[in-house]
Amino acid sequence: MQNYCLLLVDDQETNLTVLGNVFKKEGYRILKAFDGEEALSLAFSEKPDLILLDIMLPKKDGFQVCKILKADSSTSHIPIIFLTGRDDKDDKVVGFDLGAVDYITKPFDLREVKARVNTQILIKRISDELKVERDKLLAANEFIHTVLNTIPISLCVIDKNGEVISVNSTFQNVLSFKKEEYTKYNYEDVFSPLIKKSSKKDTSFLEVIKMALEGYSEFKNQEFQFSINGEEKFFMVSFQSLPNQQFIIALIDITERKLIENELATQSRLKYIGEIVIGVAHEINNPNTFIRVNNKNIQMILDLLRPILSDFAEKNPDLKAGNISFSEAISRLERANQGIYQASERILLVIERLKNFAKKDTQIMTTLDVKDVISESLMLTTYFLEKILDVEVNIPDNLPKIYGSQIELVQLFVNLITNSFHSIEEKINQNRPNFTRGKIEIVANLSQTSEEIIIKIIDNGLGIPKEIQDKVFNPFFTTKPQGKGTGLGLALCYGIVQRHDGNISFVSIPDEKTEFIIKLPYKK
Amino acid sequence: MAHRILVVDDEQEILAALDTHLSLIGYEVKTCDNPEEALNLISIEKFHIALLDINMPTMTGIELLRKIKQIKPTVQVIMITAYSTLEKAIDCWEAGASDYILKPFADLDAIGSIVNLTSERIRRWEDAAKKSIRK
Repeated sequence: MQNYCLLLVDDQETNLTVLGNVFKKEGYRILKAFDGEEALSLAFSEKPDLILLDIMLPKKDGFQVCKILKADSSTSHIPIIFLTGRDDKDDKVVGFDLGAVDYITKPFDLREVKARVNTQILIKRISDELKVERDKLLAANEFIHTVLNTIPISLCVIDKNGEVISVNSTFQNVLSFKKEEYTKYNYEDVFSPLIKKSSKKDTSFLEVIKMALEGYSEFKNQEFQFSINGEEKFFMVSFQSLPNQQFIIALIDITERKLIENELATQSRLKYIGEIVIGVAHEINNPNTFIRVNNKNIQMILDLLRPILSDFAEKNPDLKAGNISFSEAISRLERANQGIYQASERILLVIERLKNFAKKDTQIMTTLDVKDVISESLMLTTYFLEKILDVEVNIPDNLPKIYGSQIELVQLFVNLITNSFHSIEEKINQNRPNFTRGKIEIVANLSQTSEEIIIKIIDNGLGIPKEIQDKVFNPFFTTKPQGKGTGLGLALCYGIVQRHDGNISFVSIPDEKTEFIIKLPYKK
Repeated sequence: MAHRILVVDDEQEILAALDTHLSLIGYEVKTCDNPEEALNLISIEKFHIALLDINMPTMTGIELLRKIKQIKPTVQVIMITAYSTLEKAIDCWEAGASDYILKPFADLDAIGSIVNLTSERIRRWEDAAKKSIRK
């Protein structure tokens, strides 16, 4: 019984000596007190592991001492064994009521005293050990809790009926879910508001969880899309069973990674298309060359033949080519040749634009003022703009200069402004009831990090439908009727911005507005 | 007497179109779709002008130009080049080419005017030669 301390309290010195010697041999540390006051002061200062307490004591009796010790939190845990002179049942009951663990009747048998004391000390030792283990468990629990609430994974524990048992802080933050809510809910109540009703594909989340619950099966890293506060989010979801028929749903937010992946895919796709385009342009250029020369040749020959043919037609008024007169046929031939010429001019133009889109060699780059570029772009477009819409330009005077190609940047803004114009024009043609007047807003300013200039072109036109938003930068993608647009406008814009080490993106709310955002580095 | 032009290109359609075009402007034209044969024709026949495509499979335009200049230095050589091969055309100029025509002939009158200019220059030398013989 190494290191355990016994406090012996008795007003008879012989008793103290006898007991003291016995327990000293057992290996206890011994404290002795002759009266109640002394017993209390030793108990408070030394915090013994066990007290053998006589009832009949001077100054304060054993019951009073016991009462005081049990009332104090620093000593209440110390087990007390009463030593009672009389075999008085009342004393024993009072002693137990006061919180004593045992009693020994005087005159005592030393073997009995030893056995009872050792038993109490054993209990005390075991409970001490348990307390240490419990503290360790509590600390481990605390640690796990902290970790679970700090990791960027949203966790939700449910039971076999699907009732939510607990969620971690990340879950509450990411899925916008208040703590007090979860205990009342089933997982379906928690997740259904996050699932886009319109999209049939996404209801599969609840089905997948349901199936996993029913089959007690687990799954890992399945991708799901949720809509949180109107924002599209992607999650990697795992479902695993825990002990006690509980299950954990773990969700990792991969929205950002997804966006970067999409952006990279768009970029590499456009780069790839750029390479194809160069090849295609070359292949088309060649046949167009001899179309053009032959067309010119035919024209030259026609010029020679015209007087002869006219003369011939005049002399033979009845001569017909199929259903038309001979002279009409001659003019149709000229028109046909003219048509070929126009077609070949158009091919030239398309190829020129394609090459611009894919161009690798740098244009003449100079220091430019955004304000000048925008006003030149507007000058080229105002003649058709002002009829149907207002233009508002807001560019601060002290904006740093950018480094780029004037021609290309003007081309970029003319394209974007023209697109906005067409969108508003179409909206007017559709006679929207709430639409009063078209407006194009051009705003430029320095980014918050002051690393680039942000130029926005905002229009209140038709907007870009969601389903085509990822395609608009693709060459040849057009929503205009056949023959009206080349589908190269935005592809060209993309190419121009890329060559200026910038970035072009857009935000569009269908039927409301479209906002093109161009970020260009400025010259330091 | 009309000046004689040899047009060398590996594409038959271009040859036919240029043949007609130059003939209509008033030249005597011969066409040829491979550089080796072109070199042979140059050495045995009299040509004033040669129009060479810069990109041909067996021998590049610049090689053919150099060989022509070796055997017949007075033949005026005009290179036909695309924008992408303009750098090669500059090498040709340094190797003795007298002019170039840019494909895909965005300016259709350019072919005629460039060939005419070259033809006029040859005519001036010819006149000079005649005068000196009279002396």
